[in-house]
Amino acid sequence: MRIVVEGLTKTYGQGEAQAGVLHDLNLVIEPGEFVAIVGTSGSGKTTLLNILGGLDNQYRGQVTIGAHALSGLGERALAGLRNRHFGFVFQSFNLLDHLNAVENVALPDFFATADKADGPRLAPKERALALLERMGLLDKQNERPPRLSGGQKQRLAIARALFNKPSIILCDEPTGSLDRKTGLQIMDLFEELNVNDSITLLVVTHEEYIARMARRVIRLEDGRVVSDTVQEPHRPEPELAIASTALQPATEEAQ
Amino acid sequence: MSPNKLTRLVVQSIARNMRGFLFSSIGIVVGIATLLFFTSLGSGIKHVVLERIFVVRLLEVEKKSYDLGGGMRSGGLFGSKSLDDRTVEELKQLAGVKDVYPKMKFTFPASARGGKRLLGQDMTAELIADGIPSELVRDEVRSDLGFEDWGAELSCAAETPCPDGFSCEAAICQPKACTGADSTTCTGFSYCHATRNACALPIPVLINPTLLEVYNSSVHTALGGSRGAMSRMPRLSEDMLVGFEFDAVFGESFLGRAAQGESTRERMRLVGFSDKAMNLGVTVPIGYVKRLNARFSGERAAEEYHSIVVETSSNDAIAHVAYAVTEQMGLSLSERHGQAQRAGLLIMLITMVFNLIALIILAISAINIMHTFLMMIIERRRELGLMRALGATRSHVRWLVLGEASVLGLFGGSTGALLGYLTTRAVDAVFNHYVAQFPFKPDSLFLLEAWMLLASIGVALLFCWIGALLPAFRASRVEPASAISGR
Repeated sequence: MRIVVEGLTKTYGQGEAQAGVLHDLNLVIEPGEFVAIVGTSGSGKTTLLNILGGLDNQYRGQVTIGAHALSGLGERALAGLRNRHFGFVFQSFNLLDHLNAVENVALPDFFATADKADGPRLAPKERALALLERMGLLDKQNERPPRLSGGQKQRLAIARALFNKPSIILCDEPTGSLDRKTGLQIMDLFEELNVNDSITLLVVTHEEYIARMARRVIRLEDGRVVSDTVQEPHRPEPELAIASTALQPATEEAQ
Repeated sequence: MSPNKLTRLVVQSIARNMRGFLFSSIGIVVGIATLLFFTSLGSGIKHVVLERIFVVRLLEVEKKSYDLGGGMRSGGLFGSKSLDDRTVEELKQLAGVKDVYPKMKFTFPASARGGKRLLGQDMTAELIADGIPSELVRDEVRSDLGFEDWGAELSCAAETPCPDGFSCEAAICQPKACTGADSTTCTGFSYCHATRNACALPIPVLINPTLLEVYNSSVHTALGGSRGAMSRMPRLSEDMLVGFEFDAVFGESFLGRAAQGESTRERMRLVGFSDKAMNLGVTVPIGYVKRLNARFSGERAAEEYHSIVVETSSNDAIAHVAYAVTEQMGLSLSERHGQAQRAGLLIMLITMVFNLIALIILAISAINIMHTFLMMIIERRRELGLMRALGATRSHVRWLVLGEASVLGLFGGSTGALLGYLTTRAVDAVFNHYVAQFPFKPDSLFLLEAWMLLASIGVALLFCWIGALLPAFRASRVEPASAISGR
């Protein structure tokens, strides 16, 4: 699905206390792109990602996903879009500790609406198990998140993001809570999803070595696009990645 | 979201915090148990009072009386219309009336003698009696003799033979001739009448169960301390008494003799117990009373009833029928109707007060549930935000919270109903074991009906929904972006 952003402006507060976060942003992201959105803390990366994912609809301007202008969608339609076309991966995983791995992966099924265009699909549990197998977590299917390592948790979150076969995956600092070696493994997984499944990937990150693995890098500064470059992706060796410079610690990221 | 998915999601959510769930349900359990306890207690007491002591559905219609200088007058110039067959027909036509049965009392002295079989020796007592139509009590008669007017002229045919002791002559049942020593002619229930030298059937008699209740709870207890045979009188049951026979002397008693007619002796046989029988005395088919009144008090005494009992089709019809009888027909209702109304009102008020207490407990529970759910929303804000990100609509989130409240209501309601039921059984057991016998002492203080159990669960659900409504809307307003980021 093509993403088109036109004149996107986002402010917080009112009157004199009003603070702008995004200023007249214009972007086009084609289907199947692997885009890294980088910038310093407070540059508006996460806010942009939330707006593109339909999680935040308080903005001015126009955001179009495929044929859908987000601002024109009702609450139900927007929820349906999130459920069917978007996958979300967060820095803090956002897994439900009271559910086991299979139940966490199949969570989006609770909110899914049947679509005849999808044709026959596997039962939710079978789909979840297939995704766990793909993520190398089949043996952890009955484990609950607190018993999993950081990398396993993030792979579980990616499996959940893939549950409804999304066309776009939105990742907010997906490696921020992981060591660099595990982070690279997660990025390899994203690379595979992008290449093999043609899923559009939008990765918000503050880490340069992560950004270098994308094919396009959009750099934000004070809510404005300061650069938008297409690059040859480069996967650093784990030890080189460790040596690379981080823009900001992940924990300081706050939008 | 399908109900199946919603149920699974709700179960997952509740299973995560079972302790909090059980804690939240305590108020509902206690409130519902209290509500059920007092509702069934109120119904039980109301049932005893209005169905056994003051039978509120039975309106006893009397002639209107006027107080003239200290003396009561009724009928004629100063009173209302007569209670005759025409009035009976008018009453039958009133809306809400199920049955009408006239009552006629003995208007002459009578006495009864017997009881040797039961009490060890014959006893003589004044006989007070009234008569009612046979068809009104047929279902309550427990003897093959039936509650029929065997003294009336009985027609017969090949397919409707005469009763025992009678033979069919010219299509009329005639009593067979007999002598006192001849016990073979009068078969079945019939006996050889000593003065008529002919077979006769005993007069069927009904007794009000209240009379038996009063005897067992009061008279028997009081006589226990007396001297002689009276102290050995047994407690009586309906089974012991059905089939009991005694002799009645009509036209003569301790109090005097009838103004006209020769006294006569007839046999009576108890055929059953009925609430429609008079409270103090015996009730016989009204045909006997009419004939005996005509014989001992004149024809006029046989034409006018002393009262007419009107049975309403339901309790809801009582007010309408009472109004029609008193205001439109100019008749009056017996004092018992007023007593029944006052008793019913008092019980209703007491029940309402206790139910109000139960409702206050439930309201407090609802506030507690609201507080618990609001806290739960704060704790689960990130989870709710995640659900929204994964495609949950606001409506899904609302239904999730209301679904959890529903499970809480069903669990609290069912457990409360069970607790309430067990409490009623326990109180009944204590009541029956420790409280001495008294008139109208019921087997159970409670009247627990299926609708009460269902209503208990319904009320629990209602209060849980009330408690969860605001939290459900708050939860649905959680913004996914800020909730996920923890802002």
